[in-house]
Amino acid sequence: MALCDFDKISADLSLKMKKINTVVEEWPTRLKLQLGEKGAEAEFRLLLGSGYTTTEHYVEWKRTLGRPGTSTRDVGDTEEKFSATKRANCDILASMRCTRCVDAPVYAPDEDIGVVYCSRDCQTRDWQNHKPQCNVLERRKKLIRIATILKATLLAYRECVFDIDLESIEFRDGTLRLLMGSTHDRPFHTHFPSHLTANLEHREVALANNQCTLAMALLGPLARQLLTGKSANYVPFYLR
Amino acid sequence: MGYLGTRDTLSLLTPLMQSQQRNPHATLITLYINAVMEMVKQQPGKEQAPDMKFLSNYLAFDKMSLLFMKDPDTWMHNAEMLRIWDARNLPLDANKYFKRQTQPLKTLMVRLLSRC
Repeated sequence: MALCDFDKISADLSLKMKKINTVVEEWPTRLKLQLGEKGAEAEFRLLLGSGYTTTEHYVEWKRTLGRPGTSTRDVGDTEEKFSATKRANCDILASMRCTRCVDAPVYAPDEDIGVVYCSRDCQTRDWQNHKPQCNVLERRKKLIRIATILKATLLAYRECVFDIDLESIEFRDGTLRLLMGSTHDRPFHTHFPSHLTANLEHREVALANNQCTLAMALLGPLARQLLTGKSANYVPFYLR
Repeated sequence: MGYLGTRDTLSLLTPLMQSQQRNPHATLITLYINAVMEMVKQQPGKEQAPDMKFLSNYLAFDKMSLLFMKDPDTWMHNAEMLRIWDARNLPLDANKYFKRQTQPLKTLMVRLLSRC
């Protein structure tokens, strides 16, 4: 693990490290008894004989308030855009949105998915009316979150199990060219040649190119688990 | 081996968490298994050495005989030595090393200030 600044990560991702863990112990495998206390020696021997490194550390993160898309937020300078969308029950200029479906992906450019409310009461009164649409939108949000994770999984896998003799990646005249080497022997399980491009999109194209079968084979179980919302049991497997 | 790291993992999984308003208990937990020891490895040799004074309270070993083992072949395969080496994590102030890793700026400031 390289040095990584947790304060910066927290700020960038609108997260907060909990000062005191509330779910799991922070250092569950360290020595807990003081030298000389009853059972201290037995504890020492138990830990020494265990498979633990005894420096296992759990960090708990929670979201901070005010992250865009997670709260009933003020539309502010984009008010014009939203005031044009349909308003629930009243004619008051409203700027609050339903937290459940805000920021759901729009499927068609002219689709109108914005519902704004002037107050909590206003939202409550409109709930029966909004509910069916809200359910659909929440499912869309879930779907895009799952797709993001699945994509990241596939790309991470391909990065370390790359089997194409790629020589260069060129973008010319609106076409991305992936140039292969002359060898017919496909290298097996090599790392993706990251030095070929600094462009993130080009990199993703090269990684995902022609991988539909792999995606289906690799992501099926994970996709099913994410879709059913079951807590997933992951068995870590190490490549190489 | 595929390695994502804290930042990528959190940026991918944070959107799956419910907001604080919907569920104030929503929590993401990350586990670090090697971080402390990796930080220790980057410290000067003196800090990497096992804390013999502490370990001698728990493990019975003959300090003098270990001291006179000059031949690397002897001490590298010596059972007592291996046990001490395995136990070296136990007396560590793991929190200190974890903070060094994850709050590099703060740690540096504290170190500089403590010298003043």
